[in-house]
Amino acid sequence: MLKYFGIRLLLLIPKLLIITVIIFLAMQAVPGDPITRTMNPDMLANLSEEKIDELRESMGLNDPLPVRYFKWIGDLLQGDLGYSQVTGGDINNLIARHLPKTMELAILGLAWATVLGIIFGYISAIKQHSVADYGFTTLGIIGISVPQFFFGLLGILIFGLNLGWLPTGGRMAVGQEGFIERIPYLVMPVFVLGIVYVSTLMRYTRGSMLDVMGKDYIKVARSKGLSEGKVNIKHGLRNALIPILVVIIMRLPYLIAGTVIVEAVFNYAGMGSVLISALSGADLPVVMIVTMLISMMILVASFLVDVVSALLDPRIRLGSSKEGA
Amino acid sequence: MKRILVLLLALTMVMALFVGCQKDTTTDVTDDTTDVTDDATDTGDADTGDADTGDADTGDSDTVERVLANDTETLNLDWWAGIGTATKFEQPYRDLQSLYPFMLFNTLIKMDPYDISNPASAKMELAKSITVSEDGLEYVIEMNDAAVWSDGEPVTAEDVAFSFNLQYRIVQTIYKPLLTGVVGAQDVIDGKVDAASGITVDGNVVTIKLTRAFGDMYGKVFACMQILPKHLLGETNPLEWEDYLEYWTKPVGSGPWMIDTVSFPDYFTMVKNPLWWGEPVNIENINFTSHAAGGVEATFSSLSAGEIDYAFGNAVNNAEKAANAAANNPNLEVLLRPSAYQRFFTFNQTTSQDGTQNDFLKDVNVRRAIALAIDRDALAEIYGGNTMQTCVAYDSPWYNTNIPKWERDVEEARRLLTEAGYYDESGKAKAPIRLSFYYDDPTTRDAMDYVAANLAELGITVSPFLMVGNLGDRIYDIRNWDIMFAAYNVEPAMYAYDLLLPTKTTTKYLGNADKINAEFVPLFEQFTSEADFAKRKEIADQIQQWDYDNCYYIHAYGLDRITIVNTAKLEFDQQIFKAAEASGFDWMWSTWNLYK
Repeated sequence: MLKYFGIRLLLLIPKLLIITVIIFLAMQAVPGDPITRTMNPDMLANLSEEKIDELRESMGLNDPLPVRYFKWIGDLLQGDLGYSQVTGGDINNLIARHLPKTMELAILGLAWATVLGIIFGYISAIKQHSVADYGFTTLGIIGISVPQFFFGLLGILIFGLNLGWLPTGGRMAVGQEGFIERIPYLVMPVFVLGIVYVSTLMRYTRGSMLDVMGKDYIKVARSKGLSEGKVNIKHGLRNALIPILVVIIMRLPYLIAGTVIVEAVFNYAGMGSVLISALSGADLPVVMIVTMLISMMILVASFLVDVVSALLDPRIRLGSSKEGA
Repeated sequence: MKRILVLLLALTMVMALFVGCQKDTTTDVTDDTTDVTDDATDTGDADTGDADTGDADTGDSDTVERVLANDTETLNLDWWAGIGTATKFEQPYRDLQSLYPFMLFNTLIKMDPYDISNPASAKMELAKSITVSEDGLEYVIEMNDAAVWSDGEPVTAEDVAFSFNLQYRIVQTIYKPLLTGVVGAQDVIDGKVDAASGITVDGNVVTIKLTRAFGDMYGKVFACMQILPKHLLGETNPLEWEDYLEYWTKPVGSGPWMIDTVSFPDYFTMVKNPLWWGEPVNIENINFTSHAAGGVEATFSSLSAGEIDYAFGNAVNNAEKAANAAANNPNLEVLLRPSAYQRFFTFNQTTSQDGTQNDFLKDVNVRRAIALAIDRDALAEIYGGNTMQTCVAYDSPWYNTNIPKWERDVEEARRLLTEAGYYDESGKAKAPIRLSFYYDDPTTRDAMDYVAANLAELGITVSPFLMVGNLGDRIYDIRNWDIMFAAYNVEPAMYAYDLLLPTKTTTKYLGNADKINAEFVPLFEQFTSEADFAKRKEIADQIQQWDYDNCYYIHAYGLDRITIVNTAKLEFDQQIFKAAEASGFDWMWSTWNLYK
């Protein structure tokens, strides 16, 4: 078992290196250099050629590509994420300030989406072809097909502007930084962020439950005289949750990437806003770090999926051991 | 049955959506009928006494007396923070899209919004008096002894000298080019010394000596440049001064308000500076909320919801969205203030890297023909701006009213082109035009197609194209364009003419350095060195006439700057919106009042 996990863990290293190369090359392929890209032409008109060259040199932009790559990787390994080319701010600081805010949003979004998604999926499955099943399925399709920003704008219009129940955006009221005080500010972004995942999880749960409920051991449980509730939950839902768990773990990094839109709509200063401002300002160091962070989270999530799957289903690790032998 | 239930469910949801989206107008009636009568018995705070500020009066008969609430209400403002809010404030010179730099810091003087271009009317702030020698080469600034920083230290002549010398050593400053005429400035720029020999301190007096007169010392330097505390910044490295100093986490200033709490990047609060020594201000508490994450849309939503009371500048510079916000919230008033932002067309009169430049554009008659053919009024309408004749807006005191308007006249344009030999024997235009632009928005694309259609009436084939990639290279070095649609934004607008100076990068496409050196440069130097308004106006007129005659630029349109105010809650002297000519005007904070 440990060997299996060790191999999976070691495989992360080359994957990560390949990702860094891709990200680095992709960012270098962006036309122009940061000096001319980040300044508007009117400002450039006031800069002499010497000054532009001086700035370029001071930012190490005249170094050859491999030198810049290894310098970047070397700094990363030492925990130095570098500085923003636009603000001059420390990226470590930037991440430390914004990532927890996005994590909070993502975890809360995933939490409510998981609870509701599983409940809705469960009801849909055990009441197959009922009004509830059709209703949840319809809502699921709406949740998946309508873009997040639409729900966000609708929420702002109804609950922020017309009813005035919730703030239109932001992360907190002035001086009210406690979690309870921030709840009004979290309601809409968390709800909107989770909508897609409620729908996705509902559909997965429904499918998985229907699959499980057709298995022989469910028939056995029923024939033993167990109550329908016990059969559905203890034997049905518990077994159906195994693939759902994998889906949930894999969703977390995507949820963080998904906050980009939600944060912009709700003026929520998290990693999404950092990424957007870095992209619009062509702030390469920040874009590279944030992209790498998201990629790393996806890699870690995929590793966790391997671990959980192996723990839950011995056939997976055994199959892998045999292949290895 | 099940299908009917599902249909009913869907129908209910749709109806709920409609009901939710419906605006409840009944609750707005009371807000819309407020009167602006000051409550003299209320707080005893300074009365604005300004009849002009009563713009919130809707004229309804069912009026409600408003209650002055400077002590209990909070002024909620937008913290426009495109960059710099992750951990620190931006330096005050750069963050002019928020009100806080003007509230936190002070300057030597402030220009009077009622007489904005006249140094004689300037209000003394950190300076007690400023005297200038007859030749305009020496300024003697006596400091106001009452002025103190919010940490209790006095504002000294040393602070002023430090702030001036700092400009030569930091990267991002708009004052360095304005102060190169100070005696010894070049030595500081070259790193030979730390302070210019022309800036000397004697007690509470600073003397600034210039090698050449600079007519805008009051309006562009003394009234705009914030003075910074030497006792907090004096020992720091100027190269790190801008972004890395601890000072910028909670800067100390000498303005009427001071920073109280800071929560990067979400908000910060300001309170009255208890040591404020100037004209008393009324508002006790101010909150600044950042909309950097949500951008312009978030700012408009907050305005509509009544979460912020005042927003201006880039945060709200969209007339359509501003009107929508005002429609959503009847307490909002959209105010327009002339701005120095303008868009223009200019010509590549040198060469293109691909060798296909249109050499006809070197002929002034061809340029004039193009100016006559472009429907600039339509462009101004498309963008919601005002047609421009020169670099200067119509309502500016510098505007030369004798400049004839470029009325669209296709026949005259065709005649000029014929004279210039633009057509061959068969009447076909000899050279096409590549029309470049770098604003990637649908309006600009449509506008450029429209300009192409305008010029097509002259028989010229015009290909509009969006310049992408390294714009600096493409505009100045590669120059594979013939006409470019671009923008400029300088206050006072007369300084936009520095685009013509041969020392600028623009000379790479303008060419004609000899002509510009011989005719334009002396005029521009006279303008920048002359201090007397009447004489400057004469020179400004000549510069605009030269611009018109030579047609290096076709001025298209200028934009108004939008300010949105919750007039039910906030009141102030709106004369500040007429102060278009300088950012160093007096905001007249003592007239700012909050109401319940």
